[in-house]
Amino acid sequence: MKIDTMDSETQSRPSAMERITVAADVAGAPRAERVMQILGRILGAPEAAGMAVTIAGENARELQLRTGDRLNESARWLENEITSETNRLGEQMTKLKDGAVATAKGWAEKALKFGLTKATAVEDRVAAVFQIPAVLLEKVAGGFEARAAGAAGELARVAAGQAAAEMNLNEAQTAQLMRILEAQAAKRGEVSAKHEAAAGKIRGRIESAMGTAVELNAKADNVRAGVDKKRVFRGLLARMGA
Amino acid sequence: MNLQELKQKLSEVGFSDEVAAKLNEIADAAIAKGGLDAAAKQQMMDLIDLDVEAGLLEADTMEKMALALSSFAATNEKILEMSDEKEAKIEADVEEAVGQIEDTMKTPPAAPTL
Repeated sequence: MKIDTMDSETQSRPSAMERITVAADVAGAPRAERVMQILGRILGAPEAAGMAVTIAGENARELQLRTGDRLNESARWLENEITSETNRLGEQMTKLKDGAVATAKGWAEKALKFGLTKATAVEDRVAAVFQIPAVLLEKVAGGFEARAAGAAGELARVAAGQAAAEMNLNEAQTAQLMRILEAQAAKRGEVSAKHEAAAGKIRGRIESAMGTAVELNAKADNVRAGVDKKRVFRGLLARMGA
Repeated sequence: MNLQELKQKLSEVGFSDEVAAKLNEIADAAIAKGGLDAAAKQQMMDLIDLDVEAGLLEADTMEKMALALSSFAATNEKILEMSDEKEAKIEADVEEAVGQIEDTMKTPPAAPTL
Protein backbone atom coordinates (compact mmCIF):
# COMPACT_ATOMS: atom_id res chain seq x y z
CA MET A 1 0.00 0.00 0.00
CA LYS A 2 1.40 3.40 -0.98
CA ILE A 3 1.07 6.06 1.65
CA ASP A 4 1.10 9.61 0.33
CA THR A 5 1.58 11.14 3.73
CA MET A 6 4.95 9.47 4.17
CA ASP A 7 8.13 10.99 2.94
CA SER A 8 10.98 8.92 1.59
CA GLU A 9 12.91 9.21 4.83
CA THR A 10 10.02 7.75 6.78
CA GLN A 11 9.82 4.83 4.38
CA SER A 12 13.50 4.13 4.83
CA ARG A 13 13.09 3.92 8.60
CA PRO A 14 11.45 0.53 9.22
CA SER A 15 14.77 -1.00 10.16
CA ALA A 16 14.92 1.06 13.33
CA MET A 17 11.25 0.54 14.05
CA GLU A 18 11.62 -3.09 13.23
CA ARG A 19 14.28 -3.44 15.88
CA ILE A 20 11.93 -2.01 18.43
CA THR A 21 8.86 -3.99 17.47
CA VAL A 22 10.74 -7.26 17.13
CA ALA A 23 12.41 -6.57 20.46
CA ALA A 24 9.03 -5.85 21.97
CA ASP A 25 7.75 -9.15 20.63
CA VAL A 26 10.72 -11.07 21.93
CA ALA A 27 10.44 -9.48 25.33
CA GLY A 28 6.87 -10.65 25.35
CA ALA A 29 5.93 -8.10 27.93
CA PRO A 30 3.10 -5.58 27.83
CA ARG A 31 5.60 -3.01 29.10
CA ALA A 32 7.54 -3.24 25.83
CA GLU A 33 4.29 -2.45 24.04
CA ARG A 34 3.90 0.64 26.21
CA VAL A 35 7.42 1.73 25.28
CA MET A 36 6.42 1.46 21.62
CA GLN A 37 3.32 3.53 22.27
CA ILE A 38 5.38 6.25 23.93
CA LEU A 39 7.74 6.27 20.96
CA GLY A 40 4.74 6.44 18.65
CA ARG A 41 4.08 9.96 19.95
CA ILE A 42 7.15 11.28 18.16
CA LEU A 43 8.05 8.85 15.40
CA GLY A 44 7.44 10.09 11.88
CA ALA A 45 6.66 13.65 12.86
CA PRO A 46 9.93 15.47 12.83
CA GLU A 47 10.88 15.22 9.17
CA ALA A 48 7.77 17.02 8.00
CA ALA A 49 8.16 20.32 9.83
CA GLY A 50 10.66 23.08 10.47
CA MET A 51 14.03 23.44 12.13
CA ALA A 52 12.95 22.61 15.71
CA VAL A 53 11.32 19.35 14.71
CA THR A 54 14.24 18.44 12.49
CA ILE A 55 16.50 18.70 15.51
CA ALA A 56 13.94 16.74 17.49
CA GLY A 57 13.86 14.25 14.62
CA GLU A 58 17.54 13.54 14.99
CA ASN A 59 17.00 12.90 18.69
CA ALA A 60 13.99 10.73 17.96
CA ARG A 61 15.93 8.49 15.60
CA GLU A 62 18.76 8.10 18.11
CA LEU A 63 16.21 7.32 20.78
CA GLN A 64 14.60 4.72 18.49
CA LEU A 65 17.90 2.94 17.97
CA ARG A 66 18.89 3.15 21.61
CA THR A 67 15.51 1.89 22.79
CA GLY A 68 15.57 -0.94 20.26
CA ASP A 69 18.97 -2.02 21.55
CA ARG A 70 17.90 -1.81 25.16
CA LEU A 71 14.68 -3.75 24.57
CA ASN A 72 16.61 -6.38 22.61
CA GLU A 73 19.14 -6.66 25.38
CA SER A 74 16.40 -6.99 27.98
CA ALA A 75 14.63 -9.63 25.86
CA ARG A 76 17.83 -11.61 25.37
CA TRP A 77 18.53 -11.43 29.09
CA LEU A 78 15.05 -12.76 29.89
CA GLU A 79 15.37 -15.56 27.35
CA ASN A 80 18.86 -16.53 28.57
CA GLU A 81 17.84 -16.54 32.22
CA ILE A 82 14.71 -18.62 31.62
CA THR A 83 16.63 -21.01 29.35
CA SER A 84 19.40 -21.49 31.88
CA GLU A 85 16.87 -22.07 34.67
CA THR A 86 15.05 -24.61 32.48
CA ASN A 87 18.33 -26.41 31.77
CA ARG A 88 19.15 -26.36 35.48
CA LEU A 89 15.78 -28.01 36.27
CA GLY A 90 16.47 -30.64 33.60
CA GLU A 91 19.91 -31.44 35.05
CA GLN A 92 18.55 -31.53 38.59
CA MET A 93 15.77 -33.90 37.52
CA THR A 94 18.22 -36.22 35.78
CA LYS A 95 20.40 -36.36 38.89
CA LEU A 96 17.42 -36.97 41.20
CA LYS A 97 15.96 -39.61 38.90
CA ASP A 98 19.27 -41.47 38.52
CA GLY A 99 19.70 -41.53 42.30
CA ALA A 100 16.13 -42.61 43.02
CA VAL A 101 16.07 -45.30 40.33
CA ALA A 102 19.42 -46.69 41.52
CA THR A 103 18.05 -46.90 45.09
CA ALA A 104 14.88 -48.55 43.78
CA LYS A 105 16.95 -51.13 41.89
CA GLY A 106 18.90 -51.88 45.09
CA TRP A 107 15.61 -52.27 46.93
CA ALA A 108 14.29 -54.60 44.19
CA GLU A 109 17.32 -56.90 44.52
CA LYS A 110 16.72 -57.14 48.26
CA ALA A 111 12.99 -57.69 47.71
CA LEU A 112 13.68 -60.58 45.33
CA LYS A 113 15.46 -62.38 48.15
CA PHE A 114 12.20 -62.20 50.09
CA GLY A 115 10.33 -63.73 47.18
CA LEU A 116 8.78 -60.50 45.97
CA THR A 117 8.77 -60.89 42.21
CA LYS A 118 6.94 -57.67 41.38
CA ALA A 119 9.68 -55.59 42.95
CA THR A 120 10.21 -53.50 39.82
CA ALA A 121 6.87 -51.80 40.51
CA VAL A 122 8.65 -49.53 43.01
CA GLU A 123 11.18 -48.54 40.37
CA ASP A 124 8.31 -47.74 38.00
CA ARG A 125 6.52 -45.66 40.64
CA VAL A 126 9.69 -43.73 41.43
CA ALA A 127 10.36 -43.10 37.73
CA ALA A 128 6.78 -41.87 37.31
CA VAL A 129 7.47 -39.05 39.77
CA PHE A 130 9.63 -37.45 37.09
CA GLN A 131 6.89 -37.37 34.49
CA ILE A 132 6.19 -33.67 34.81
CA PRO A 133 4.19 -31.49 32.38
CA ALA A 134 6.18 -31.14 29.14
CA VAL A 135 5.64 -27.36 29.13
CA LEU A 136 8.08 -27.02 32.02
CA LEU A 137 11.05 -28.20 29.98
CA GLU A 138 10.10 -26.62 26.67
CA LYS A 139 12.69 -24.45 24.99
CA VAL A 140 11.91 -20.85 25.79
CA ALA A 141 12.84 -19.66 22.30
CA GLY A 142 9.78 -21.41 20.91
CA GLY A 143 7.59 -19.11 22.92
CA PHE A 144 9.15 -15.90 21.70
CA GLU A 145 8.92 -15.96 17.94
CA ALA A 146 9.92 -12.65 16.44
CA ARG A 147 7.19 -11.02 14.42
CA ALA A 148 7.53 -10.81 10.65
CA ALA A 149 9.35 -7.77 9.34
CA GLY A 150 6.30 -6.77 7.30
CA ALA A 151 4.27 -6.14 10.39
CA ALA A 152 7.06 -3.99 11.80
CA GLY A 153 6.86 -1.87 8.66
CA GLU A 154 3.15 -1.44 9.21
CA LEU A 155 3.80 -0.13 12.68
CA ALA A 156 6.29 2.35 11.29
CA ARG A 157 3.52 3.67 9.05
CA VAL A 158 1.25 4.06 12.05
CA ALA A 159 3.90 6.06 13.80
CA ALA A 160 4.28 8.31 10.75
CA GLY A 161 0.52 8.68 10.47
CA GLN A 162 0.01 9.60 14.11
CA ALA A 163 2.57 12.33 13.86
CA ALA A 164 1.23 13.63 10.55
CA ALA A 165 -2.15 14.12 12.19
CA GLU A 166 -0.62 16.87 14.26
CA MET A 167 0.61 18.67 11.15
CA ASN A 168 -2.62 20.15 9.79
CA LEU A 169 -3.21 17.66 6.99
CA ASN A 170 -5.96 18.46 4.47
CA GLU A 171 -9.26 16.57 4.41
CA ALA A 172 -8.16 13.96 1.89
CA GLN A 173 -4.91 13.36 3.68
CA THR A 174 -6.68 13.10 7.03
CA ALA A 175 -9.18 10.59 5.63
CA GLN A 176 -6.35 8.53 4.26
CA LEU A 177 -4.52 8.73 7.57
CA MET A 178 -7.64 7.59 9.41
CA ARG A 179 -7.93 4.51 7.18
CA ILE A 180 -4.32 3.69 7.96
CA LEU A 181 -4.79 4.22 11.68
CA GLU A 182 -7.90 2.05 11.71
CA ALA A 183 -6.10 -0.73 9.92
CA GLN A 184 -3.21 -0.41 12.30
CA ALA A 185 -5.42 -0.45 15.38
CA ALA A 186 -6.31 -4.00 14.43
CA LYS A 187 -2.64 -4.81 13.90
CA ARG A 188 -1.77 -3.40 17.32
CA GLY A 189 -4.49 -5.57 18.81
CA GLU A 190 -2.75 -8.61 17.34
CA VAL A 191 0.58 -7.48 18.74
CA SER A 192 -0.88 -6.99 22.21
CA ALA A 193 -2.52 -10.38 22.09
CA LYS A 194 0.81 -11.91 21.14
CA HIS A 195 2.56 -10.14 24.02
CA GLU A 196 -0.06 -11.42 26.39
CA ALA A 197 0.44 -14.94 25.08
CA ALA A 198 4.23 -14.77 25.42
CA ALA A 199 4.16 -13.31 28.94
CA GLY A 200 1.45 -15.79 29.81
CA LYS A 201 3.69 -18.63 28.70
CA ILE A 202 6.22 -17.98 31.48
CA ARG A 203 3.39 -17.44 33.96
CA GLY A 204 1.91 -20.74 32.79
CA ARG A 205 5.20 -22.51 33.44
CA ILE A 206 5.36 -21.06 36.95
CA GLU A 207 1.80 -22.12 37.72
CA SER A 208 2.35 -25.56 36.26
CA ALA A 209 5.53 -26.05 38.32
CA MET A 210 3.82 -24.90 41.49
CA GLY A 211 0.75 -27.02 40.81
CA THR A 212 2.84 -30.13 40.19
CA ALA A 213 4.88 -29.45 43.34
CA VAL A 214 1.73 -29.13 45.44
CA GLU A 215 0.35 -32.33 43.92
CA LEU A 216 3.58 -34.24 44.60
CA ASN A 217 3.74 -33.00 48.19
CA ALA A 218 0.14 -34.14 48.75
CA LYS A 219 0.94 -37.57 47.31
CA ALA A 220 4.09 -37.79 49.46
CA ASP A 221 1.98 -36.97 52.55
CA ASN A 222 -0.40 -39.83 51.65
CA VAL A 223 2.47 -42.26 51.19
CA ARG A 224 3.98 -41.18 54.53
CA ALA A 225 0.61 -41.64 56.24
CA GLY A 226 0.58 -45.17 54.80
CA VAL A 227 4.10 -45.77 56.09
CA ASP A 228 3.01 -44.67 59.58
CA LYS A 229 0.17 -47.23 59.53
CA LYS A 230 2.62 -49.95 58.53
CA ARG A 231 4.93 -48.98 61.39
CA VAL A 232 2.05 -49.14 63.86
CA PHE A 233 1.16 -52.60 62.56
CA ARG A 234 4.79 -53.65 62.90
CA GLY A 235 4.68 -52.48 66.54
CA LEU A 236 1.61 -54.63 67.18
CA LEU A 237 3.30 -57.62 65.57
CA ALA A 238 6.47 -57.07 67.61
CA ARG A 239 4.48 -57.20 70.82
CA MET A 240 2.93 -60.57 69.90
CA GLY A 241 4.55 -63.52 71.54
CA ALA A 242 6.17 -65.95 69.13
CA MET B 1 -4.13 -59.42 70.14
CA ASN B 2 -4.59 -62.88 68.63
CA LEU B 3 -3.64 -64.01 65.14
CA GLN B 4 -7.15 -63.53 63.75
CA GLU B 5 -7.21 -59.93 64.97
CA LEU B 6 -3.74 -59.38 63.52
CA LYS B 7 -4.93 -60.70 60.16
CA GLN B 8 -7.93 -58.39 60.31
CA LYS B 9 -5.67 -55.39 61.05
CA LEU B 10 -3.37 -56.44 58.22
CA SER B 11 -6.14 -55.93 55.68
CA GLU B 12 -6.69 -52.36 56.91
CA VAL B 13 -3.09 -51.16 56.71
CA GLY B 14 -2.67 -50.80 52.95
CA PHE B 15 0.44 -52.84 52.27
CA SER B 16 1.43 -53.24 48.64
CA ASP B 17 -0.45 -56.14 47.00
CA GLU B 18 2.48 -58.51 46.89
CA VAL B 19 3.61 -57.86 50.47
CA ALA B 20 0.02 -58.11 51.73
CA ALA B 21 -0.33 -61.49 49.99
CA LYS B 22 2.88 -62.79 51.60
CA LEU B 23 1.89 -61.52 55.05
CA ASN B 24 -1.53 -63.13 54.73
CA GLU B 25 0.07 -66.37 53.66
CA ILE B 26 2.32 -66.40 56.74
CA ALA B 27 -0.56 -65.39 59.02
CA ASP B 28 -2.80 -68.15 57.60
CA ALA B 29 -0.07 -70.74 58.13
CA ALA B 30 0.39 -69.51 61.71
CA ILE B 31 -3.34 -69.70 62.35
CA ALA B 32 -3.39 -73.25 60.96
CA LYS B 33 -0.46 -74.19 63.19
CA GLY B 34 -2.06 -72.50 66.15
CA GLY B 35 0.79 -70.05 66.71
CA LEU B 36 3.36 -67.72 65.16
CA ASP B 37 6.93 -69.00 65.47
CA ALA B 38 9.94 -66.71 65.73
CA ALA B 39 11.11 -67.35 62.14
CA ALA B 40 7.67 -66.57 60.69
CA LYS B 41 7.39 -63.46 62.85
CA GLN B 42 10.81 -62.25 61.68
CA GLN B 43 9.83 -62.92 58.08
CA MET B 44 6.73 -60.76 58.56
CA MET B 45 8.79 -58.00 60.17
CA ASP B 46 11.27 -58.08 57.29
CA LEU B 47 8.49 -57.86 54.71
CA ILE B 48 6.96 -54.90 56.54
CA ASP B 49 10.37 -53.19 56.72
CA LEU B 50 10.77 -53.67 52.99
CA ASP B 51 7.37 -52.15 52.28
CA VAL B 52 8.12 -49.23 54.60
CA GLU B 53 11.45 -48.70 52.86
CA ALA B 54 9.74 -48.60 49.46
CA GLY B 55 7.18 -46.11 50.74
CA LEU B 56 9.87 -43.86 52.17
CA LEU B 57 11.82 -43.99 48.92
CA GLU B 58 8.72 -42.99 46.98
CA ALA B 59 7.77 -40.19 49.40
CA ASP B 60 11.34 -38.84 49.55
CA THR B 61 11.55 -38.78 45.75
CA MET B 62 8.24 -36.95 45.47
CA GLU B 63 9.30 -34.37 48.05
CA LYS B 64 12.69 -33.78 46.41
CA MET B 65 11.00 -33.31 43.05
CA ALA B 66 8.40 -30.99 44.60
CA LEU B 67 11.22 -28.93 46.11
CA ALA B 68 13.01 -28.72 42.75
CA LEU B 69 9.80 -27.56 41.05
CA SER B 70 9.02 -25.00 43.77
CA SER B 71 12.52 -23.60 43.46
CA PHE B 72 12.15 -23.52 39.65
CA ALA B 73 8.87 -21.59 39.99
CA ALA B 74 10.34 -19.14 42.51
CA THR B 75 13.40 -18.45 40.35
CA ASN B 76 11.24 -17.95 37.25
CA GLU B 77 9.10 -15.54 39.24
CA LYS B 78 12.21 -13.64 40.31
CA ILE B 79 13.49 -13.51 36.72
CA LEU B 80 10.16 -12.10 35.52
CA GLU B 81 10.29 -9.52 38.31
CA MET B 82 13.82 -8.46 37.35
CA SER B 83 12.87 -8.31 33.68
CA ASP B 84 9.92 -6.10 34.58
CA GLU B 85 12.23 -3.78 36.54
CA LYS B 86 14.59 -3.53 33.56
CA GLU B 87 11.74 -2.66 31.23
CA ALA B 88 10.25 -0.22 33.73
CA LYS B 89 13.57 1.63 33.64
CA ILE B 90 13.52 1.62 29.81
CA GLU B 91 9.96 2.89 29.85
CA ALA B 92 10.78 5.69 32.30
CA ASP B 93 13.85 6.72 30.31
CA VAL B 94 11.93 6.70 27.02
CA GLU B 95 9.04 8.62 28.55
CA GLU B 96 11.45 11.29 29.76
CA ALA B 97 13.32 11.48 26.43
CA VAL B 98 10.09 11.59 24.43
CA GLY B 99 8.81 14.37 26.68
CA GLN B 100 11.93 16.39 25.96
CA ILE B 101 11.58 15.81 22.21
CA GLU B 102 7.91 16.81 22.35
CA ASP B 103 8.89 20.02 24.14
CA THR B 104 11.37 20.76 21.35
CA MET B 105 8.69 20.16 18.75
CA LYS B 106 6.32 22.58 20.49
CA THR B 107 8.89 25.36 20.28
CA PRO B 108 8.24 27.40 17.11
CA PRO B 109 11.12 27.34 14.64
CA ALA B 110 13.29 30.43 14.84
CA ALA B 111 12.37 33.11 12.25
CA PRO B 112 14.87 33.14 9.42
CA THR B 113 17.19 36.09 9.67
CA LEU B 114 17.84 38.14 6.56
